[in-house]
Amino acid sequence: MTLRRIFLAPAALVTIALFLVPMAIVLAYSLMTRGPYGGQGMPWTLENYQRFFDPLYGEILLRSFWIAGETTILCLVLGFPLAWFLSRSGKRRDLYLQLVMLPFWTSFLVRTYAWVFLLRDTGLFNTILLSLDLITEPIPLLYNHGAVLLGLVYCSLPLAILPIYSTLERLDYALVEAAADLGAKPFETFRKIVIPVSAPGLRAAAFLTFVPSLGTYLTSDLLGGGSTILIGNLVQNQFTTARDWPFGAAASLILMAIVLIGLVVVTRNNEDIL
Amino acid sequence: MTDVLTLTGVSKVFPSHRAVDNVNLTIPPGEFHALVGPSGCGKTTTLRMVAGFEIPTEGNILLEGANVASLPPYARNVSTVFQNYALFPHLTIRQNVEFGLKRKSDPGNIPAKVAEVLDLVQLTGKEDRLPSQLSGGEKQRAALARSLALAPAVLLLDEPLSALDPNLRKQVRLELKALQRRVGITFLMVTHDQEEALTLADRITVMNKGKVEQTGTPHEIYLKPRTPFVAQFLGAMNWLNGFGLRPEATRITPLEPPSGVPSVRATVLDSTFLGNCIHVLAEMPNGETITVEVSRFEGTHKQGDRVQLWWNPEDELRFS
Repeated sequence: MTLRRIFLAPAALVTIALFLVPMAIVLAYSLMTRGPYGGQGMPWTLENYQRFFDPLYGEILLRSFWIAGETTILCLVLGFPLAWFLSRSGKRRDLYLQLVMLPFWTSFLVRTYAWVFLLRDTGLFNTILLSLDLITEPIPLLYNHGAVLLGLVYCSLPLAILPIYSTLERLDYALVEAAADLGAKPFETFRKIVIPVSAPGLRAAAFLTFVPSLGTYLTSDLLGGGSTILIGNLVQNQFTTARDWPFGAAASLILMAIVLIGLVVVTRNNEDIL
Repeated sequence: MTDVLTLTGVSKVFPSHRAVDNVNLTIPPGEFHALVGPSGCGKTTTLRMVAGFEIPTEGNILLEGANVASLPPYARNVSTVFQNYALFPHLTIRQNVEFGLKRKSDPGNIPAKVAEVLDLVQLTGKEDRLPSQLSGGEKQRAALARSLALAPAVLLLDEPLSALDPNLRKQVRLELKALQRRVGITFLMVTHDQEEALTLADRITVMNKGKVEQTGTPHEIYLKPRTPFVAQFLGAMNWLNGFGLRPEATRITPLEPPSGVPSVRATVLDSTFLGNCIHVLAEMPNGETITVEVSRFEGTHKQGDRVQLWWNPEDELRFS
């Protein structure tokens, strides 16, 4: 055994034990039959996969893609100016970067609950608006599509900012000046030079926001309150209340396959991603 | 209106310092003008104000008679060749050149115009390469072509040769000068390289600490420097009591100097062979040293040799 292999062994063992083995179990479950009281057993079947093509689940999948897409676009649109500001902020840059990372210091769950306290009928926003007599009844801010979207954007935004920041930081500002020098107005410079040159960062940001948003279940559960069932909630429900592990396993594998195919298609022509 | 570019009382104050201080400059059409000075002297800031990347705190910048001091870069008829070329990395050479042309030319003329400027800088056949596929010299020429295509009133060059390796630099220098003569466009170049300024420019402006020290032809600047700074910055200088003397104007002889010229006794400390000439370092009786540039045909001088140094009085550079 070479030294190289010895050093690689721990990482390889962790990968096998914590990734490949569970994946194999999930694959096996997805091909089994649901037992009469939950659980799973023989015979082998493809029925779980076929079930997924029911229009009911198709709608859930479509809704998941839709909200993940909205999240991604909002994160890029909001993250880009922030990343630009960060990359041009000189001495204060490290401080601002720490501020961007600050949310990661607290639990994701706690941060999402905080939004519940802010948005609910007796929450901060409604209380303020009511006390200012701007409204007579609380506005329903929570338990709808908008609340889920807000939660997703809030959680993903730092993940979008960082890769965009890292490409903008390396962007030679002389390119922006050269474009202006050649007669391009600011918006044209942005469109024809800044965006194409920072495309690798934008692609990475899009992936880092889209993929986790697609599989989310906590945000949609807490802020959507069951009104917005996403594919993540579907999987979660199969493993908990529905006690249909084989179908849950099949649904999660289908989601993973879709993401992987997407990744391959996007990276085939762009080796620079991530 | 005869001058293409005139700067009157131009200053630029940054929060930390005064980068450019009351600069006046007049450049006639077709001139190759060099702004020289040590780093931090304000030459680059001056160029950037002409380009529109910086707005002057005070003063006017007249381009073809109109004050452009507060106009954005895209509204000025000037174009810049950047130090690191700033070619758009995601566009081919052709697309780089077309970028500015699209706004200035009608579409039918663009292909011919691109071909013309690429031929001018000898990049024909490399139209479809990306900047990363070009050598340093080719990138520099591509950047030149991109700017020349717009036929600007003034072409601005920011240390255009500094990113090239030294062997290439001398060759490109000659090409640049020939190119400027051929196209007849006014060039304003920033450089810290005195030799580059002397060989390329029709006139030179020497800057120091944000101010103009002197403007003149290479001859005037080198032979009649107005300040000690100018004398020191362009070419080497020996300082004797009260005046300066160029090393090549200083003569050395083991014998008696000609009668009627100033002279001083000295002892040779060192002799450095530079290929095309020899630099002899000699110590005068007062302990100060002086550098003498001699040809290898003028004999050799060894350490410890007793010599006489002399010069023609008209070569003494005096400053009031």
